Amino acid sequence: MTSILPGADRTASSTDQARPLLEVSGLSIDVQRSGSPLRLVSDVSFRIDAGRTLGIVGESGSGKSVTAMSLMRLLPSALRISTGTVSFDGQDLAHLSEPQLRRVRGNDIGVVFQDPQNSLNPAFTIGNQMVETIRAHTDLSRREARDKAIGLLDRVGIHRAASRVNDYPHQMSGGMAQRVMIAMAISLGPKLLIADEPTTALDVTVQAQILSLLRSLQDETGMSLLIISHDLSVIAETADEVVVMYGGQIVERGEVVEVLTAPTHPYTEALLAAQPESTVKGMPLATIDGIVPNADAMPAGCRFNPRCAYALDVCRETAPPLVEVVSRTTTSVRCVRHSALTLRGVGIAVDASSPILTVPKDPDAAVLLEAEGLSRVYALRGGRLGRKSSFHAVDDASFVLREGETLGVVGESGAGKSTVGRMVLGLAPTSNGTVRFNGIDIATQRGEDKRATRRDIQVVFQNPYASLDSTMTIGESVAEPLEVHHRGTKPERTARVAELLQQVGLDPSVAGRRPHELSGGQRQRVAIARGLALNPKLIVCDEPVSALDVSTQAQVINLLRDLQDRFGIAYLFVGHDLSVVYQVSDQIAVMYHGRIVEMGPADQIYHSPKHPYTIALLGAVLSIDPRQRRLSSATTTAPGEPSATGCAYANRCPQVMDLCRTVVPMPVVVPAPVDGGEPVTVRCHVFGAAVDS
Amino acid sequence: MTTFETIDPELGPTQVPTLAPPRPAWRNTWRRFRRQKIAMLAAIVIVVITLAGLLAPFLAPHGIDEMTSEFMATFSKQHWLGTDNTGFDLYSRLLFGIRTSLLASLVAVALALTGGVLLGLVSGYVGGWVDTVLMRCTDAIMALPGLLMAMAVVGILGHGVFNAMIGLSVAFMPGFARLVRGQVLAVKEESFVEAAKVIGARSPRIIRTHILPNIASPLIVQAFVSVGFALLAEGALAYIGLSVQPPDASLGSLLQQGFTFINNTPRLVLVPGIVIVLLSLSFNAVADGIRDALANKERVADVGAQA
Repeated sequence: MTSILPGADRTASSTDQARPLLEVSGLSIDVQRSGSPLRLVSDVSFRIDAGRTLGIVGESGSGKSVTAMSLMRLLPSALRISTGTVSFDGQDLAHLSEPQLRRVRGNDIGVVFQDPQNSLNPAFTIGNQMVETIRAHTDLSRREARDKAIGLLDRVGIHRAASRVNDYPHQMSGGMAQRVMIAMAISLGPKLLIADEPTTALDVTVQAQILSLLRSLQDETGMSLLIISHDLSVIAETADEVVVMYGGQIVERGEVVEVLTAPTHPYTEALLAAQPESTVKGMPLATIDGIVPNADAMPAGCRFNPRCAYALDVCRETAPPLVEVVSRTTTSVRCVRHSALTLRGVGIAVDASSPILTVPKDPDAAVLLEAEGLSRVYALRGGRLGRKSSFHAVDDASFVLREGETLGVVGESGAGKSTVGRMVLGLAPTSNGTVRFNGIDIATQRGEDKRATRRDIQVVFQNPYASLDSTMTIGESVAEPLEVHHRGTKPERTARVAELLQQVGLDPSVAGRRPHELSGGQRQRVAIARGLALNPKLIVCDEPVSALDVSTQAQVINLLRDLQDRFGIAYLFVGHDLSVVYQVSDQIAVMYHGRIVEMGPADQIYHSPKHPYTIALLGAVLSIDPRQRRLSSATTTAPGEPSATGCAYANRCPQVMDLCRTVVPMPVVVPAPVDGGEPVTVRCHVFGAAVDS
Repeated sequence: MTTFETIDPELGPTQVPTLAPPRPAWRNTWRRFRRQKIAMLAAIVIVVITLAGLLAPFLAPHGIDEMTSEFMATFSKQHWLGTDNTGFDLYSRLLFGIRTSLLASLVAVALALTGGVLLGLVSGYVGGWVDTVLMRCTDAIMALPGLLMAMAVVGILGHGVFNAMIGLSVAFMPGFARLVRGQVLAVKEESFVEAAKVIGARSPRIIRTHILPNIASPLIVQAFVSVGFALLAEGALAYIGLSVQPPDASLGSLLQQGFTFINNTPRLVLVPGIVIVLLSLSFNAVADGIRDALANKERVADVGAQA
């Protein structure tokens, strides 16, 4: 088979794999400001060999994206490369002229950004945009370029590429748009593809497909990959070498297996431990104390020392250099104590002797929240011949939540999971069905009764910056629920605010601050304190940790669990990350396209999923152990669209039957297996048939 | 840097802590405003001219309708800016004119602001057919040029400075209503407004504590821009005799009275003209300065979040 990809012939010719394609040495980046410039990235050095994949991992503020963008000199105007060289294929990119640089961009280096929808111009069809790119760098005719574009779209797994080439970006899903971005980036056969958080904005199953696609393209063309991610599992699944960044510096660098299985820097160890997968369910998640430092307030000595569990006086005094680890072949580390420390890597069981945090749940607890046949229907106008059609954001959802329990609602974007939360909160009207709280239908409540129910159901939103009014101080925000419900006198309220802030692990003095003075994790703690103010019985947590860094995410999850144990609050925990939802939930409901497709005890769902979609969702969870990668580069075509009739999953389902395409499956209780466990509810004909026969 | 303490399950008796007083946000805005040279200069010009207008009864050497024995006198010790054809002291009349023009513009903008905020809040917050009706009404008013609208209103109500204020406020109100409506539509979708609904806050409270403070910045800027335009518009109305009636004076009526002698005594036109232009430009410059000072806050916050 001949390949349409221009670089495909390179694999054979470049047998010498150790040839460095990109070599960055001593790279520093400053932000210009009044007074002295501020150093965002200091002394970064790494190399990428031909055909290899380098992953840069770090939390927000680590300087990883700025570093990647500086390679192509795509920095915002206030940022400047102050020292260092970027040598690519014999040229120094840091000192090329603009016209020379333009030839390198696209031709030799392709880029894929985080948000595919924003990277495409909404005013042009994707075909036009691809043709422009191809013709800017080659002398192909318009028709030839177009044929090439169609071939590329087909290669990145887009069905019916010849007709989709005329689509506008808004007609594509996020995953499709990212495939288009990749097709554009590889259209000229670059030697290096830079992918900056390529899957962060995408759903879990789509993420797995995109990463598989990148892998198979690399196998085919022999290009090198530079993947930047905050997500350690993305790096573990894709990279050959890894660079761990913290505070604008490289803290550890080496072969991915070496670094992740036996880290030599305490930050790498802490980052690995903070992954939800690293913890046995019921145990507190490992956290990293404190927050990522700001560039203008870097701690003296080692930049990680205030958060490091192993810090000594020497760490606070002298800044450690990046040195090669004697006992390793590839690893370099920036830690003076590395030879004295034995650190835990991935795959080693956590200390089982630490006390189990979660109090066992009472199986006979009273039912707090009961939803029955809950639906949210939107009427869509402008169908064919002006006929009205409707869209079910949520379709016939029923669930029960007991006092002091957590029900996790998990699903991808558009699954309707947030809408369920909003209907429980009364923020979205219900089209059908009832929500009963303490046995009373909340839709029938009026006046004081309604306000009383409102008091008992509180919320923590996804984005803690948007959910706090920036014109109010933290104290005013936390006191607001008390004020609205006329609780106590002003001094009493002030005292309660201080108590609440302490309960969520904040110093009461933050009451006088404004939201922008706090970090994301601290703001989410404030939002939780506000939710607690009225002693609610239920808190709806709408993706409460998805805007946070891994280390802060673990802190917030631990806090939520701790508060549940102390105050017996029930949570409706909405999330897209199955491993996070599993950690906090007693029961899990899996949603796909508006319907709950599987529901049952968390362990049951996580360890023996029944519904094909749940199986796919679990299969798409990436591994943080580079020795046990789960991605295959085999399946790279885009999945089918949700089916309009019958089971919505029919077009993607490997076990699909004729019945699935026509008849909507009803919930079926699958009895517990003989070797223990509990029954689960599944909406799938595969199980419906088994029960009938 | 804040470090988190582990949460102590056995929380001791709650002591009433002394909370630090909230740091006023406007102080930072003022600091950023002060750094802008042109805006600061404009602000000083406004303050000086406004003071001169306010203190007109004390500063003016002659009364507003006090005829002197000199006609068309040029600059002198007795008459700093000379006299006009009736023998009025131009300097005195200029001070009183500033007073009238500023008062008319400020009152007109204040009325427009109040009305516009009310209309815009109702329109944006309530939505539905109320929004449609109110917005079509503002469309109708905006279909006419502002000055023409003001002239029409004065034509109906009759001449005089008070009616001119009302006419101007009618002309400016739709702009404010539109601005407020747009801002309200954006802010009411924010999570913090939903968060307030979840705790059971009623609409008046949500509007007062969450929506109004969050739409204040563009409103302040728009108000300053409008005062600049109102000064020009009032000048135009006075020029065609729809605003103040003689012997009272505004900057526009001084211009009109001097226009007859523009060939021989350009002084009578230049002096009030320069003051109008200076004031109007200054209000615009200050508005720009305020906008930058407020916008800067967000930019700094963004950089902080990235770094």
